[in-house]
Amino acid sequence: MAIKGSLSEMSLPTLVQMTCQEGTRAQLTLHHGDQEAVLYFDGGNIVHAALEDQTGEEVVYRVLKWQEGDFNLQAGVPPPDSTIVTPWSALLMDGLQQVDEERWDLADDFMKEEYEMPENMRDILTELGEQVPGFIAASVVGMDGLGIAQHAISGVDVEAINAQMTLLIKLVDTTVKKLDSGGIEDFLMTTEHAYLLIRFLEGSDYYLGIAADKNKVNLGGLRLNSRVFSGRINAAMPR
Amino acid sequence: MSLQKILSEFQSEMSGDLISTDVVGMDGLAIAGVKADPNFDNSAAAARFAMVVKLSTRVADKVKMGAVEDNLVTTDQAYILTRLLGDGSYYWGVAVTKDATLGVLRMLMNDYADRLWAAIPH
Repeated sequence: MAIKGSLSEMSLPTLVQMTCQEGTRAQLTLHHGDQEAVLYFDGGNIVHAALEDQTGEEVVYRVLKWQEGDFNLQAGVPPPDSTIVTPWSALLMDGLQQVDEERWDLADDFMKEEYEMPENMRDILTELGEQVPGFIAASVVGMDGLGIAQHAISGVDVEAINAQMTLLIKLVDTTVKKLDSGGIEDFLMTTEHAYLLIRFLEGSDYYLGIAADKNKVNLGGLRLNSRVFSGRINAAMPR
Repeated sequence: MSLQKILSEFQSEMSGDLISTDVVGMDGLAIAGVKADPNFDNSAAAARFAMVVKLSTRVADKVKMGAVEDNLVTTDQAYILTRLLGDGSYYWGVAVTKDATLGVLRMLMNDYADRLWAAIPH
């Protein structure tokens, strides 16, 4: 089976995430101007990529800069080679960071000034809600249990979740410190119906909490989104 | 099969990534365990995580999202996963290095949880 479309309608990161999460073997052919790149997926990762005479991770980093062009995703095509071992999520994050850095270098001073204005945290949480299937709620919460920004579907008592999860994360933090098991990166509570994920914001006493329907969201995707969005929220935090 | 044998079998499936694993009562005392890292204080971990498991049960009840199934802590050194067994009178704690594959750990814990519960003398 083949899926065809335009990169302006479905971005390459979305295509990669979708294909890797399905874990299927597939060939993704990309056309951008007169360039053609081919990515191969197997077992939930990108295993090979080729563009002109180049192969491997560098090809993925190059094609992540393509915002226009066409794609053709063909299921069941075996990879002709194996040139990539990095997990797809790390590959995507590294590649997107390179794209951001390149755009930053190219931006003029006016654009940089605009970019440096902090984003509204609630807007970021709203965007997060659109990215996470089965989204229930997301909050930026201090260690006093009070939220400073939140977004949720209707009928959810976000303040109660914030207060209760803060109690829990404080105990987990103390526990991990007493056991000398390193610094907490994230904490995930799985219930019958939901995942409740907490990720500390670097260098602050706040965390990003996300709740999502367990039957609709993919856990790997949820953790990836929490990493990506916590960085943006951290940048938007008033100092 | 005894709890100890099941935990040893689980250890062999984690191929060198296991730090410690224990089946623990809600009093914080382990009834069986395997410790691969001699520097890890599994008795203290059993007692302290019993408090975390108990609080998470109460939190899950308050936030009305169904009963708690498991808790996963990711630190810069390890993954620590606690999972309630059977009727919730015991929990199973597993600490593994960050080299472990999280998806495999969760899959194996799904496979072993019922066996561990069945092997606990009631």
